[in-house]
Amino acid sequence: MTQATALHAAATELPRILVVDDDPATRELLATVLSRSGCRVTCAEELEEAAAILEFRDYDALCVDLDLRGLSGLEGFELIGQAHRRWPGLNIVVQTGNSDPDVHSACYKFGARAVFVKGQPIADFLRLFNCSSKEAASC
Amino acid sequence: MLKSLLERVVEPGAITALFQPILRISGGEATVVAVEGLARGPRGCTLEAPDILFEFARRKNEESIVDRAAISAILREAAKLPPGLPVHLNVHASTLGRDGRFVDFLCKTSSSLGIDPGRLTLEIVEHSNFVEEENFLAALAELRAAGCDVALDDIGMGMANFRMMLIARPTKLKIDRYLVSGIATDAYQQATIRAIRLLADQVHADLVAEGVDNEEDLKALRTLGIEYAQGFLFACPRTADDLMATVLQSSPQPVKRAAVWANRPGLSLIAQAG
Repeated sequence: MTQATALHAAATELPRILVVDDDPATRELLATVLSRSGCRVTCAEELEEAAAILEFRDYDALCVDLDLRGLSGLEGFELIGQAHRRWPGLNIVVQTGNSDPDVHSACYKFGARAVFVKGQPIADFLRLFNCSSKEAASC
Repeated sequence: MLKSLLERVVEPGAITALFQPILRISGGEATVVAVEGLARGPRGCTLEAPDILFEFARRKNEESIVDRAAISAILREAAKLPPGLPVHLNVHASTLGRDGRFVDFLCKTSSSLGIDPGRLTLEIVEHSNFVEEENFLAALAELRAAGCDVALDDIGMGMANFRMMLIARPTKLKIDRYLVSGIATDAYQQATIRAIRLLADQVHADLVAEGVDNEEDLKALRTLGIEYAQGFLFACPRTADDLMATVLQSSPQPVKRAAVWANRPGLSLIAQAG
């Protein structure tokens, strides 16, 4: 994790998180830990699916995998930029297996609020959403 | 190999068909005159919601394949409905413009299920500026030659604009719920509907108000001279079986199509000066 950022302003409401990941196991894991930590989670497996959902439903945060199948590095940054422009109130959390600081800087430059490097402790991931890891620890 | 989300959506059986009645509201008791077939995506999936399902299709530029899957599912279920009951189907303008075999598919599918294409009204939905006007017009001509009616959906919203009206020359205009819901207490909405009614009268098109959810709005629409309506006040979308067991059982038997939708005279041009 390169930056811990509080993402949810309205403490009285459950954060609504849209998770985009093409790996079913990862989607399931993220959905489980976020749900057990008090978030309302929706999962999408494709970018077009996520964009269609965002067109009609409100979310507090978008958690997107930068390493999605068929997505080149540059396309990934452009995607972050497009989402940031289209839904400026949406907090974008990027997860990636790439630990290169330049890649992370580019993510922030294009509008990401936080970058999570896969393999880091799940507690760090949950903190990005203002979630406690206590309940999720049983996962 | 795992199937893509799109492949799973268009698999036979993945899309569920529901129907919502369209009623004549003018002249006494409301009577069912047609049903609109509505698609729902795979159960338990984000695409179950139709707005997300079709937005997904548009973002994939695969409107045609999803339209076909939805129409196949709806027609299969529509075969259970009374043989004289007109059925409305939604189709993207882009599907008509780009899928050169769509009308052939529609006619073959409906005929194979014992549904006369003459029972069908295609409600055109438009979400982008389409450019395939020539192909689109050819598809409309094929539809009309097959006996289908053409309606324009979502009047008053988004891309359902005057340009499309001029191109498609629909015989039915479906007023979006945005203009209908709350009309009883909003003078601007009433003025807008009056203007649309004037337009519909001029081009001899029937008007259907969508999203009629309460008695007050229904009364206002009747006062404004709107002849047809659909909405939760009458019935929520439901399966063909459910519709047969409830709404269609309690409603007077739908009359033949020719008597349902008024015969329309041809348009006449204003005489040119000089």
